[in-house]
Order: sequence, then C-alpha cells, then structure tokens
Amino acid sequence: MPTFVYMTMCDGCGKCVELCPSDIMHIDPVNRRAYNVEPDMCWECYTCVKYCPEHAIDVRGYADFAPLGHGVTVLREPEKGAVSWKIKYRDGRIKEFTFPIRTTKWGSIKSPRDYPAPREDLIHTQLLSHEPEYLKVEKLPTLPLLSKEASRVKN
Amino acid sequence: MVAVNINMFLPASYFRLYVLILVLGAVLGILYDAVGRGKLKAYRHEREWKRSFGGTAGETHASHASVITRVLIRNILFSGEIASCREANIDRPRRAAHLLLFWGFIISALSMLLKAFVYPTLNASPLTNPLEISTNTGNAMLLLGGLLMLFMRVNVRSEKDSMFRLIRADMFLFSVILAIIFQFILEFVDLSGSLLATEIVLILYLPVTAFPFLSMAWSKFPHIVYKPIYAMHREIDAADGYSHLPNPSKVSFIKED
Repeated sequence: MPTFVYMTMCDGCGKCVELCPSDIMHIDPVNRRAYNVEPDMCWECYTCVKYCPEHAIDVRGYADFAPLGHGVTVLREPEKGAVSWKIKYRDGRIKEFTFPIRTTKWGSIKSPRDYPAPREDLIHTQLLSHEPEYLKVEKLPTLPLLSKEASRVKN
Repeated sequence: MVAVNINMFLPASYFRLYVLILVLGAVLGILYDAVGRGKLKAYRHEREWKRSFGGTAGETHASHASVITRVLIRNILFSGEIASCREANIDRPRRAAHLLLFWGFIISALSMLLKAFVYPTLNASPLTNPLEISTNTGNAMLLLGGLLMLFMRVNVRSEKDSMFRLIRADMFLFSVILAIIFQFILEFVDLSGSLLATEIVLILYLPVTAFPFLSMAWSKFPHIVYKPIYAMHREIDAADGYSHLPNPSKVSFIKED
C-alpha cells in the first residue's frame, strides 16, 4: 500500500525525493515538504519510509496483515542492521516485528566503481564480472564453451 | 552631505501605526492559517493518534520544564531540527542558512520595535549608533541567510528545479530578501542627503516591507510557530514514554568479520 507523509514531521530535507525509484516523492509547492504525488504508482519498496530521518513517512499496511483502521510505523537502525515495524490494529492491539536488513556494517559494501574494470573479452564468458572470486567460491558451474566462443576468450 | 531625517516624511506616530499593523497582520495571518484552515484541529488529531500507539521503553522521567528548555536551546535557538538528515553536506549549509535567517529576523524585528516604540525620533549614524548597527547586522544576516537558502531550497537541490523557478513556498523568502534590499537602498539614499530619492524609496519601501508580514496566511512563514510547538510536543511525549515508533531492536544483526 502506498506511502504518505506527515507534514508536521517532515523537515523538507529531500532525501526521499532523491531515493524514490518511482520518482513520485516530490516537494509540495506551498509548504516545501515532501509528499507522494502519485500513490497509485507507488512501488511499495518503502525505501522512503525506512530512510526518513524524521520518521515522517508512514504506510498503509497490506490488508492481509493489517486490516482497515490500522497504523503502521517504522524504525530503521542501520547500526544494528535492523528494521522494526509497529502495527496498531483497529481493536487497539499492538504488534511489533524486527527484521534483519543486512549483516555487514553500514557503508562497508564496495561500490561497483571501486572494483577494477573487467577485460573486454570476458563479455563472451558465461560468468558475470569478477565471478567467481568475488563470490568467494573457487569455481562456478558453466556450460562447455563452443569452439568459436572459446577462441574469443583468451583465458 | 547631511542625512535626510525620515521623520519629515513619516512621522513617528505613523511609523508606530505601521509597525502595529505589521505585527497585527502577522498574528492574524498565523491565527487564520492555524485555526481558520483547521490545521490546529488536524494536528491535535494527529498527536492523539500517535499517542494512541502507547508507551515504549523510552520513558526518561524528565520534567516537562527541562524538556522544554532543552528543545528551546538545542532545537530552536540553534536550529537543531535542521540537522537531522545525517548528511553533513546537506545539514550544515541548511543549518547555517537557517540560523542566519532566524537570528537575523529576530535582531531586525527587535530593532524595528525599539525604533518604533522607544526611539521614535532617532536619526543617528548607521556606523556609530548601536540600534542602527544592530538593525544593519540583522538585515545583513537575513540577506546572507536568504541568499544561501536560495541554493539550499529542497526543490532546487533534490528535484533539480531551476534556481529561477519560483513556487509559492518561495514567496516568503523572496519577499524578505526584497524588503531587506529596499531597507539598504533606503539607508543609502538617506545618507546621500537627497530628499526626493529618499521620499521615492520610502514610498516603495513601506509596501515591500509590509508584504512578508501581511501575507503570512498564504506563505510558509507560520512554520516559525508550528515547528517549535511540534518539537516540544514530540519531546514531551517521548519523555512521558509515548511513541508511535517501534521499540529499538534488542539485537544487532551486524556480524563482525
């Protein structure tokens, strides 16, 4: 279900606008706060919900786990690699869930730019860039190369 | 060259009336925006909704007075609310611009009130008189903060709008910058000693300065009232143990490698 912004809490920092993969988080022209311009087109990735430093973006939960009249809030803790959800049901019950989002330290994953560029002729192999060494395995199973393809790959 | 005495064109009693109209217009504008448009009612409803999520483990037992003092100093006087984005390249310039605008506005507004009600016939040098110096300092801070904020506008920075694309949210910023520019022009022509130029600029200065105050119901300026109230309520609720947010995770999923 799509996201929405509490205007009172929004600080107008613009991070959700930069992060939204659907480009539907925009800046309100009157108050200069973020808002979801096209809820129907929301991918429901919840990137903005999890990132918002003011916790100003909330979400209407899916009907199968939170029927109408509920409230869902989110707390992201990058230092613990966790995202917690709090759901208030319409009968007043409250449930909380915590999910791991990663096991490595925040900022420890190298950007693709930090890796050396692969050789051009490797495009003809069945392996992706830097496989298998960056997957930390010795070898990946591949189909045997045809003689024509094999000649293109020097190694 | 002798500076022009502006009291010749604008007697002290008229200037007092002018300042009173500005203050009254600002107060009425904010009241209309908060009460007339139902924002206050919606905010109370939102606060009750958040408090209905119940308590969390975060109760601090801090007194309301200490919470209000902390919010007043950290979040309001030092613009701590702006520094929440956790990205130094965004937070720092926004905070610097906000601090300049906030303190510049307070210094300028206080100086204007003092001039109107305590020293109505003051016609002193802007280089030596403390009140004139504080007025100019406040105005310079407002102008610098306003110009810096032009680059830090979130639609310009995040949505890559043109610097020159104006939206309604820009109304207050641009009207304040324009008013300050006119203030400096007025001071310049006043010092030049030209009676005609001073009279013409004064006629233009009065409506230009009045605009930001009288347009508050339609500009984003009322946030100077809303944001501190929200920050205080948020921190008081947190101190009382109310939070709509989940409890922090008890475990860390980060594995040391």
